[in-house]
Amino acid sequence: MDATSQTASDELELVERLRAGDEDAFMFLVDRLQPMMVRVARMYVSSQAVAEEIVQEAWLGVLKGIGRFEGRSSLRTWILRIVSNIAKTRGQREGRSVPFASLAGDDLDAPTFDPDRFLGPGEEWAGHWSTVPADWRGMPEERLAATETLSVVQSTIDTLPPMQAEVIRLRDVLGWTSAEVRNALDLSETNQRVLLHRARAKVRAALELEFTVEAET
Amino acid sequence: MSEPANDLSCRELVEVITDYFDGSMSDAERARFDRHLGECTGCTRVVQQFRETIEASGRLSEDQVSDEQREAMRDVFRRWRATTATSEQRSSGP
Repeated sequence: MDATSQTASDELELVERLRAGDEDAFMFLVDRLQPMMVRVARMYVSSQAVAEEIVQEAWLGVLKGIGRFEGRSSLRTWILRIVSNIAKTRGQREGRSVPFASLAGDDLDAPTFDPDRFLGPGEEWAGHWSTVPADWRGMPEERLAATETLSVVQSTIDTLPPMQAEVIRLRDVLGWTSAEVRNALDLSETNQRVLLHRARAKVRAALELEFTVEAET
Repeated sequence: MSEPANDLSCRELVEVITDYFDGSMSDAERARFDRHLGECTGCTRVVQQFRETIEASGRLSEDQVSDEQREAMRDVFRRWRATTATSEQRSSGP
């Protein structure tokens, strides 16, 4: 669980400590937010080095702006939004305006399941399963938590289009709410949901393949 | 299936599982979804698989910040604190 937003009063305390110039409070946030800040910055600029530079600039922005933070969004959302704003501006200056489709994936309208899994038009049960999916509950309990399973999940997430990957990391790996993710990544409600659904569907499909292959060997 | 024209097909249902989990459906849509699940083993399994997928993602851990970056950020902080301390002294001075 990510501890940057446990409760409103903890967050308020963190904000107060940051305003007072408390280094431990600052480092607490660095430990939790730095990796995702770099990933978000990296979506908009050409190199890892520039992304890291942007994150430094963003932290300075956080320190200078924390006095004006009103708590209308969570602290982590506000910080991530600062990063993405700086990164977008910098990307534009680099002459690198990144089209939404290249971040989000160009398949947003395509079905997430292979159409062959459903009966075609003209069949009596058109649109229903052609073969009923397997029941994962038949698997041993620890199978889902096994190291190999988790590495399939990790490697699938790592190969998703960057915005899909970030949405599923924030939502499902870190447990952020959809409102926080929408705010942090500047996504509409629909886009956030579509990106998350596509990401989950791909991870589910990868697990299905993993479990099926295993059952056959 | 008493109202075929009104019913969700499996192909449609699998596209709205995240809407269902997020509570972003109308009452009527939710009822239609639930009605389909009540009659369909395949979709019940896939919805369960989505739950297990989310649970598996939840077991991953976030990347760790490297020591190098961590110390670089500490420097950013200390430099910032040094400049604000100086400007406070200046503004509160004679």
